[in-house]
Amino acid sequence: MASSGSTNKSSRRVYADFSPLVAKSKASSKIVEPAGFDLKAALGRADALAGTQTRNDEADTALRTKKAWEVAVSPGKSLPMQAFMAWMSGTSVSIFSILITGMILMSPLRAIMSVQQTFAGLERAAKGTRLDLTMQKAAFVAINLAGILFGVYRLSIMGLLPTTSSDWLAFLPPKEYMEYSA
Amino acid sequence: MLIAWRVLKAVVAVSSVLSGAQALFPDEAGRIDWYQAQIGVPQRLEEHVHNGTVGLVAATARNVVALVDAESGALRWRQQLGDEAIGALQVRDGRVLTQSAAVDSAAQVRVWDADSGALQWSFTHAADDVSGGAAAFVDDSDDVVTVSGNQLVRVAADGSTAWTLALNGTGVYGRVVVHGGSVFAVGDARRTRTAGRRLHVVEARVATGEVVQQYDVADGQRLGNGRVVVAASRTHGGFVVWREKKNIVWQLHRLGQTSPLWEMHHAKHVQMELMPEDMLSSTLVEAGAADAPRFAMAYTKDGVAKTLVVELVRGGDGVEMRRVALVSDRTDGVAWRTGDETGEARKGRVAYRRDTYGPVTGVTVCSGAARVVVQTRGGLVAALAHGRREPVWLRDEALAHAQDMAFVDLPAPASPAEHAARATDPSVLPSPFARFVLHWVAWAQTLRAWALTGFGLRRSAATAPPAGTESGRLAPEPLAAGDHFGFSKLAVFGSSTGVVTAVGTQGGVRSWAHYVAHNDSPAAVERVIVTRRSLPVGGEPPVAVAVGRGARNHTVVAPLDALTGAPLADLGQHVMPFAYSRVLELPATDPESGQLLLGFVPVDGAPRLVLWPPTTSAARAFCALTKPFFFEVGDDVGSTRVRGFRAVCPDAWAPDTPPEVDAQPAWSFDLPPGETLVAAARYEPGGYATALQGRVLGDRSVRYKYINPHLMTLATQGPDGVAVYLIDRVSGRLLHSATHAAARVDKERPFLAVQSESRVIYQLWLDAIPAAAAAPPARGFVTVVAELFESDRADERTTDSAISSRDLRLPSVVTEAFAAPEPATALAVTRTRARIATRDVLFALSSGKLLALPDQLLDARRPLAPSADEKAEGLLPYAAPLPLDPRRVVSHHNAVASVRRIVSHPTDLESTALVAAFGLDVFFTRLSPSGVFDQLAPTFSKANLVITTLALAVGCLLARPMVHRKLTNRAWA
Repeated sequence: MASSGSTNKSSRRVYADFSPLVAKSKASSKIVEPAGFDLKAALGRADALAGTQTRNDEADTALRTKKAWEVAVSPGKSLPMQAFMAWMSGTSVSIFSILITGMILMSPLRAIMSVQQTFAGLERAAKGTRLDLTMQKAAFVAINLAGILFGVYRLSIMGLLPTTSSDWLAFLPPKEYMEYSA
Repeated sequence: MLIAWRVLKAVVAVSSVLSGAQALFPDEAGRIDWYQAQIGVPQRLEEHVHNGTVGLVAATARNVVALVDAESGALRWRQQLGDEAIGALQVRDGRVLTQSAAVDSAAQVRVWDADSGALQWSFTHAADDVSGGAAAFVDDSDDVVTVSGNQLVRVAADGSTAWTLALNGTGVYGRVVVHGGSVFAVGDARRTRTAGRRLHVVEARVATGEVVQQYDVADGQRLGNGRVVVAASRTHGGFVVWREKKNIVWQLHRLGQTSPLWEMHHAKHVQMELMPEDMLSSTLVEAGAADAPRFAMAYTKDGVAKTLVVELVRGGDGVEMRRVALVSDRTDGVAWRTGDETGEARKGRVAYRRDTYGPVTGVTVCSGAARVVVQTRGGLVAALAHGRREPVWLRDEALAHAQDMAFVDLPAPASPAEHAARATDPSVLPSPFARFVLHWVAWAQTLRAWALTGFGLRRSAATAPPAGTESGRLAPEPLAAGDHFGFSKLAVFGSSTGVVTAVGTQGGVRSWAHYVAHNDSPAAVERVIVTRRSLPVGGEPPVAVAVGRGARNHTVVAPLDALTGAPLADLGQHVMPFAYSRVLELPATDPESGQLLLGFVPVDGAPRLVLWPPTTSAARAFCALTKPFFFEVGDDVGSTRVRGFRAVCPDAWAPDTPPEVDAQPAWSFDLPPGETLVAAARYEPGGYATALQGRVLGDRSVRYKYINPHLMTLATQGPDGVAVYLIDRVSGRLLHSATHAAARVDKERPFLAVQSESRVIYQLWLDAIPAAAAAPPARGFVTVVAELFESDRADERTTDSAISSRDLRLPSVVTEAFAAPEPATALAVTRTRARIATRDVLFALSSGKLLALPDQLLDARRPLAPSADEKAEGLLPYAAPLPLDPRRVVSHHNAVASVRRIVSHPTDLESTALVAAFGLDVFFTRLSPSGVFDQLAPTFSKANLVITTLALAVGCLLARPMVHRKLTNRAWA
């Protein structure tokens, strides 16, 4: 008797595992087999299916790895567009340039924060094993860090980074004189 | 298409006109600001009747000739005569005659149109002898006879002289009377060894100028001594009335009559009322012109100061005195009565406290005797009418003599419940919870009162205006509370007439007045210092201390409750038996009274510091200061040396004597030979405070400001021009100097300076401004800005947080000069609470405008052609003339005359500063140099906000079932 296994929601693929049937039939099954049911034939079909599954897992792994690399380098593709938008918005402090800079900074930051979720679907392999995507994640983070650096650079050329003496002027206490006069 | 284009252009043109200039805030003009046109304390008042309207022509101590409406007290016109003291005033046939002269200058005779104040013609005396001076109209002619020095001149209306009579130094003439074809010049006889002090009379023919006779009269008298008066009228001629020093009878001399020279007179009214000892202290004053010669006598009887106005009439066998008016200045009010003893009397009585504006010193009786105008020594002028218990009008002319002013914070408005708690159990007030409860109790009470009055439709008896508010009230109403933003404060003015007046900044309503007297004479108040500002809930009231010069130039210190004007109970008026040269606000507080300590530097003797309050605890508080205290003397005009001293506390205090602190010489700054001091400026209290310690340049580096609270500006006049020195007041070091070779300082071209943060702004006159090599030299006033930096390089500063003046590095000074739009009479800079908002530099222009220019315009670093960094910094390109932009004239249409000082004070909102300008006139306004960024716009509609919020709430409630139904239907679909 075939039973439906777990369903991967992301891939929407269904697979069948007939191995419980063998154990049950050998141990204590008093139930008469249905007419025309050939257990050996059924088991042979399952073995054939299992061989096919092994070959599919290898291809799936390769596919996932490739896909993970694509995901990892995808932020780099948007960098030129962001640079162009930044150039278009100018270096003056205005609402538009602030929005653009905020987007440049927040997008990679958000991507770095959700790196695990981004690669979660690709990491999960067959039969509960997990694919090792460390390199892809590192590349993903590095490219996003580059985006953040670009945003910081943009903040810098807009004069929004407290890197000069004038940025700390407001915190400078007044001098105290050691004499009184009137 | 063409028509459409024209229509579009027309619409744009019309809309641009309709939009107006936003910077003027026309809806706020006269609402947040107020203006009082003053004339000064009248010295002479003459009546002028024209077309049935009665006016009073006044010649005042501020050298102003003015016409005041006798019905309303409104100012019809005024003419300022600068520094020319007015010596003669006569009103006749719609013309006003004045004679005035500045010190050591030729006398000016002017004839004005009495209705409009327009100058009709004028005449200038020869300047060889400027003593004395008087003038009078010639009967039935437009000519004037005038005397000045040794010349008696008849001048025609075209300015030509009909004749000139040389008087050969026989007297100093102060009165001229024309009557019956003769002109009489009356003056003090020149003193000789044989002749005593007496009056000299020269009689000449008015037609030809020939001398008829000249003689001496009134032995032992001289004009203005209070015991002699010259009374004259058109119909009765002139009389000299005098009382000998130790005599109680009157002596009358009719001008021109020498046989007998004078007759003795016993004024019945006075003789009946006055005892000889009262009579001996009486004084004679002039009392305006009328059909018959008038004069007034002021005396005191039984503690009541009385002023009796009499006129001289011909009786059966000689001249008789008839009572015109009698004004009694009692402790609780002023009673008056006109008419003689036999005729119908008109009288009145008004409540008046003498400690507000001083005793009554002058009385002018208007035509019909139904109204009298009284004036007090402090400068109050009030019109009293028959049957009225309040003055018809009053003018507080003490403000025209204001020397100093200070703002006093008012407590936040308290609810009626809080008032009740304050009266019954003030101990609950410090509790925030109690105040919260009281707040809502007050709201409930207000709501209840509103409901009881028919929700505002019915007027309750309690809200009816009290009787007498439609006219001026002699008794000012104290202002108990301010507002939540600090806009409403008290402006406390101290005037040379001895009056300290507090005026509310909201509307300019008088709040209180106090007359500071010393030995029955007013103490000329020169400083008003708020020595206690804090006003915690239920705490001690703020204190304003008036410092003045009393009798014999003694120093008078009068601490007043700044909310009511009442003298402090624990610290009464204090007199120091010396004249002071400086009053210092010391950086210490008296632990007993919680007041700021004051230090007085006596003029004479070795420099020392006399402390006030005169208590040992105050002295100990001062000597407990952890830092050494320095002060300087010798910064008066004409000085050649400024000396600095360090206060040194003695080992012990002598009992029962005011605590004094010795002064040890610390430095001396000697001016170069030939130079004398013409002006000195220091920071206003707190004027050096700044929010930012540097200026951010375009490349985001910083040039650090040179902030030195001990900075002092000295200006000297020398043979080579005007030199400006910036010195340190602790070390005496010269920090910076500049020489303006073609500059000049005199009375008409004053040197003005103001220090604000790291800037020194000053104005001076340049005789020649070399505009260009080939251009002819121009001349005019220039405004120079000197900005002090710690270094001439960016990002370089002294890193020590605590520094001594002795270790200071010299500042790097950047200066720039601008052409002033008009000569200014006072300079100031706005002051906000945290100094974050930008500043406006205030110019009181001689034309009466109060101009507020942003300090961005007065930047010494304005470049000719700004670079990219300089543009990024916001520097404007340099332009020599400062703009006289009408939108920056904050006094808008008001001409604020003769401004002497401008005082700025912060409010509780950072954006806004209070500004008061005073001199002859008083003007007050609020300024927001950076815009009102912390306030809602005046056009903001709270009603719209409430309505919108309510509409949204109602809309949500209405839409809720509809949305619910739609979602349900969608779920079933």
